[in-house]
Amino acid sequence: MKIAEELDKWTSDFQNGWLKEFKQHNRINWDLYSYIKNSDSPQNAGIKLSSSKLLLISSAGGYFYTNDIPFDAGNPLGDYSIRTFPLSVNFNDIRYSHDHYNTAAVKKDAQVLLPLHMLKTMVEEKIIGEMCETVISFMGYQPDVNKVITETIPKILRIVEKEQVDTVLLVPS
Amino acid sequence: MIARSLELKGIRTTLTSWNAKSIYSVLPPRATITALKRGITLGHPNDIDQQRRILLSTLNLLSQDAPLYPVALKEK
Repeated sequence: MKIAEELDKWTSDFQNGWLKEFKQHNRINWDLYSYIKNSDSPQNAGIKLSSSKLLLISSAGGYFYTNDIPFDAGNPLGDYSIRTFPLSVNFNDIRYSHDHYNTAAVKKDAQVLLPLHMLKTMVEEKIIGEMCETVISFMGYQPDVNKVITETIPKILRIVEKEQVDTVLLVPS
Repeated sequence: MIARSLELKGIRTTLTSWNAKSIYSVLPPRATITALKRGITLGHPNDIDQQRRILLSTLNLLSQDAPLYPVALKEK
């Protein structure tokens, strides 16, 4: 089981199509972009959430503005870095750097993409065993699948292992 | 792909998305799909009931064995 099936073919299509168009003509042409297509998915038994430690991962491009620099939201080749902030963060301290969705809704109500309060309530209600105190954030515009695999995912895995989480909730923007 | 990579390491994952096309293409282990839009994945601003419904439906998938066919929610 692979993270991305037929990655070699995808890479060739990407480099000879979408990326070549950008490098030669400084133009983004989504007609030349092919998405990863998988035929199968990883197998695992379910888990009892009320006994588990859950980590939230968001692709909203949120960052703790007093501590961190923004994501490179305007980069047409994407940004593959991550940021972290505490689960207890004040939403007033979060900024959003992401050019590929309208941030008006999340600025009005952060919970549309960062359900921090709701998840904490679910711990009190014993629906969730425990929340990881670290929230992982990245900017979801990442056209290069290879960079997601070699740059973004290893950073996430290090935190997952360090924090000893059992389960992850991903909320894409 | 993040979900797939974590699941391969034994970390159970779940996610929700408005982007059905992407979900059916990438095939994460567990996912709910809504008819919401980019930027309001968990529901409309200040619609606590909707946000909670989507969150619970998505989290409840964790108790089920993966892979699961994506679950379509009637949320828009």
